[in-house]
Amino acid sequence: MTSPVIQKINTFDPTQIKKIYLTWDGNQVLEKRLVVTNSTTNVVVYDGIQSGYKLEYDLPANAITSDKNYYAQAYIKDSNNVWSSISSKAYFYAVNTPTFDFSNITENQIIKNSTFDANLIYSSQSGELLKEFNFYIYNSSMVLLYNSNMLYSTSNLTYKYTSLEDNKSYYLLAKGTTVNGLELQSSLKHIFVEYLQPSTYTTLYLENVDGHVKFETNLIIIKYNGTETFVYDGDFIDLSGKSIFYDTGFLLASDLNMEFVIKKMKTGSLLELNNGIYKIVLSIELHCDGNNYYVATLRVENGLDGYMIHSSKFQRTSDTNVFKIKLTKENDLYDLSVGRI
Amino acid sequence: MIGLGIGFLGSYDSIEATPTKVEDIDYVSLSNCKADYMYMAKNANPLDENLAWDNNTVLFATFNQGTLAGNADFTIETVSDIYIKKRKVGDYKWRTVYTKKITAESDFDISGIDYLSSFNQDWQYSIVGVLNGVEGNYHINEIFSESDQYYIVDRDSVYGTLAEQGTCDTTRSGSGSYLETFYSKYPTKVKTSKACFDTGSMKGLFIKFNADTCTFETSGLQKYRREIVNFLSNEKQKVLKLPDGRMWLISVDPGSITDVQDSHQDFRIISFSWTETGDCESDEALYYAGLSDITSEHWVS
Repeated sequence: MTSPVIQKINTFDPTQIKKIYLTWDGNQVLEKRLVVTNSTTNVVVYDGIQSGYKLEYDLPANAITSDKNYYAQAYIKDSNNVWSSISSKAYFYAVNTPTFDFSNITENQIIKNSTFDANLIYSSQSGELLKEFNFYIYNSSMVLLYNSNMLYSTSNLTYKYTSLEDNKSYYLLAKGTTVNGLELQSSLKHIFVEYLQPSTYTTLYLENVDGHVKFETNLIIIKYNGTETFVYDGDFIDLSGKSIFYDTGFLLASDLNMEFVIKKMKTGSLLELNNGIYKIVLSIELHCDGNNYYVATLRVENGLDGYMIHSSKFQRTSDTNVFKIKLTKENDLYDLSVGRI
Repeated sequence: MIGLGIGFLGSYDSIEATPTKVEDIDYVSLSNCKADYMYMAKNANPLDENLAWDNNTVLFATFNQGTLAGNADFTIETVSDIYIKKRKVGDYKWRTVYTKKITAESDFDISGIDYLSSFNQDWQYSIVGVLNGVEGNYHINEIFSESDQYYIVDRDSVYGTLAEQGTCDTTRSGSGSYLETFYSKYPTKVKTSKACFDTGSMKGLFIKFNADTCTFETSGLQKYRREIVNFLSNEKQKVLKLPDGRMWLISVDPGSITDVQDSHQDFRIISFSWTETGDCESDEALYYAGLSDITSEHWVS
């Protein structure tokens, strides 16, 4: 009689569901029975049946305990309601997932250089040893840019990420395997790269050069070139029924990070950014679903169908409510948020 | 492109990579609200809690009783001149280093050099917008002026020699004599003028030094030394600056310049003696010495 074959079972964490794959050369599958035995004591620790056509068996979480050797055997019941003979033994080891993560990266960390030495921390309560590991870097759209060769020096869990570009963001990840085949993955870390500038920002740069002090202005003159006159309400400029615009003195080549604080906003167009051809428009819309609430809507008009995103809905109970609106654009991906302050 | 008799992919936007691409934004407008501020940066990195201009900021309108959105509190309409000023840290009065008439936006791009600040000293420099003689706010930055060379500067040229290859010894000179009187055991000092100045002698290798490669440049050395001797003998007043912070307004003493071989033929020492001819901290003295363009209305008394 035909018997199924259990595919190789890598070491796994028994606190998680483990999928065990079978091979079967017989009639259609109706049910699968899996028997797991402690290979040291020969005591059966799990015996279960799962129905379904798929040649896989989900060993439930915590069905077995960690730090022990086991073997699994399987039976298959075919469409004729006939159980197969038992499969050969597939030996495996169960171990709690070791700690495997970056030790010197915090989420949204700003890297001040084009290179970064990433350190990993690895520890296993079960004494499971790390066999190999490698590092990955993705761009802000999660496209893999590079993965390192496999590294084996478990006494030096470091890797130098290079060629990090100024004003870009990346995701870093590490993967590893233990000596018993347990696959590990670090948490995904989002980093921003912002090179250290030669000096702190100033409107007047000074430098010692060949026996003299060199001075160079860094003056950015941006002014309103319209004809409207504005009145001020404390710290706020009153743009009720008016617009203030800036059309000289600045240029946003690609990415954007914008923040503004407003109150007494009206529905309709609030903000417009453009390059003379295409534009990005932010407007406030009133929605009613029993309660009145507002959303900010961002519309990108670049000649094709308008791309649109919405903020979370928010409520405005009086004209004195103050809101902070944040808009970011990185690699043409947008993020919009409105928060009341 | 024509395919099957139909024109397609023909318009400007037909194969736009992404419908969200809008680049080179140079216009922003805000409407229909009351606004506290508007801040824009050229990257998507997280913003600091306390917003301020930094190297990524492209626009920051604070709407603080005004509509300016740059990093300066003036425009071409509100200033007639820009002054660059300096002072030693701890001093009160500012001295003017540079002035520029503002007639176009491009006039705000100013770069220059100040040869007349002593080394080994913290200096403050500032930009000041001026309208009809009335100064605006000071935009201040600091620098520690330093060098490892002796420098001799005049209106047209600057020459330096590494401090370890040079020496400068000075003597304080003055006027007066001692008068022995009949009734006194001790002489009486008689001063016949207010003269009180330094004289000194200086010598150095005066060889071009390539800081990038940390090597001396020996090609064209004789011509270079000839330039220095001509420079020292051009009769113009000069400023002598030492790395330790000493600085003098000097004239090179006539007939004192020597160019002497020390060991190797390329190892020649230029030496000269000098006399202090004015206060190197005085705008007036530097102006009349031809070392400064700053005219009398800016002199600090």
